[in-house]
Amino acid sequence: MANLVISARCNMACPYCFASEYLDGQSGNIPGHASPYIDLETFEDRLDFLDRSNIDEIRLIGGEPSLHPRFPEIIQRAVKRGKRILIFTHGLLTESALTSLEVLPPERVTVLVNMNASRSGDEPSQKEETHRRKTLLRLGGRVQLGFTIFQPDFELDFLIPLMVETGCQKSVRLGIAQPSLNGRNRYLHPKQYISVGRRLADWAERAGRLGIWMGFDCGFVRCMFSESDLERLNKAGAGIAYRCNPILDIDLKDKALHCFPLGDKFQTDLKLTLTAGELRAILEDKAKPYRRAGIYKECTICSYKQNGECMGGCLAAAIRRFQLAKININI
Amino acid sequence: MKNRIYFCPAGVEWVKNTDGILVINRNQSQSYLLMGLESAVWSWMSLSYTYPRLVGMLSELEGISRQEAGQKLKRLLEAWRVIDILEVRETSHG
Repeated sequence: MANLVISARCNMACPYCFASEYLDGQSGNIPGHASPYIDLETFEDRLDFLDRSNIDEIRLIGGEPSLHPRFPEIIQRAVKRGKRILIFTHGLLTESALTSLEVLPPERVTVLVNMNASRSGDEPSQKEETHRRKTLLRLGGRVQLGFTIFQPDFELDFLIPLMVETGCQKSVRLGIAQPSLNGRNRYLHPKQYISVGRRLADWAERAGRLGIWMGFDCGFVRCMFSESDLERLNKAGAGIAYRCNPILDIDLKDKALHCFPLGDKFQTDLKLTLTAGELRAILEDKAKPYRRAGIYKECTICSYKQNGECMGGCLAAAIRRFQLAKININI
Repeated sequence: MKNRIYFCPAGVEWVKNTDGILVINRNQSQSYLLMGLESAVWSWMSLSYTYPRLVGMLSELEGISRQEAGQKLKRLLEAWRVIDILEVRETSHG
């Protein structure tokens, strides 16, 4: 799999955004690149790359992908190549973007709407919520809800009536806000994970009774859940995973990134001869020495990490624990 | 008389974990786990302790003479140089 950046611009200001540092989403400026949007010729090259890598799904990311001025044409081109489409969006879609997506059958497209994206950098405004609700109503079962946890007292209950009213998928994809390497964004500190784990189990129990499924993005760790929390999550059928195996991000400058938080540290050129799997292997090799560590100092002796059940949390968070060696000793 | 200065090349990073200190040479994609005495010495060196002070602390910790501690420390530094987490340069000292 591979995520394709088609727009470096974003018109939100989410405090937890770990891509803004790499993309400069507010201005859309990319040093050494003329436009904040992918041109159609390059997009065709990306489609070739997916074909060569035997990837049937196209995953469009940003910035905000729907801000691309030729978004409907991009969708059409992906459809013509027979790709299944996955879009990561803030959900405040323009009329033309909505129209281009609502004509597609739900089995051909998933629109993953981040439900706590906002312009103010705090909670979404009433206006934003109204706009997002309109998107959900129009796209119905094509929409899966997403939520990024960046503070321990997060609230998910508002998602339940939305699912019922709008006909979107009865599932939520949850992400933990992770730090970019310089830690300028807001993120959930590993010390806060246990309280988040308990809250998630509480919510999964309530949502599960209503047939709502909850899935985990990368960065969750096994030790954030007690045995009883885990039992409740399993009973609710939650998609539990403790992984950090990010999907390749391909940016506008023909670079393949390990992931946005580690974009500056681990990247490689998008060579035309290589497949996504081969690029992933190159990037994993660069990151490999750090994999021994985890987000906690105890991760290295943890049986869950040793037996592969848990990867020790987000690699970017683990790497932030490292310090540059400054040894200088005169004998 | 010549001095030997041991220093970390660019790209060496480290982190303290429960089982020891993990040292990484990013340029060579290698990692090393320093445990026990090695871990203690690396920590002291990272605090910029001088060589005489390091020798004194090692002597205390191990219950050995200063001379033995000095030899032990030099062996350790050389071992770290061989695996490229340290480099050495020699300077003339008047």
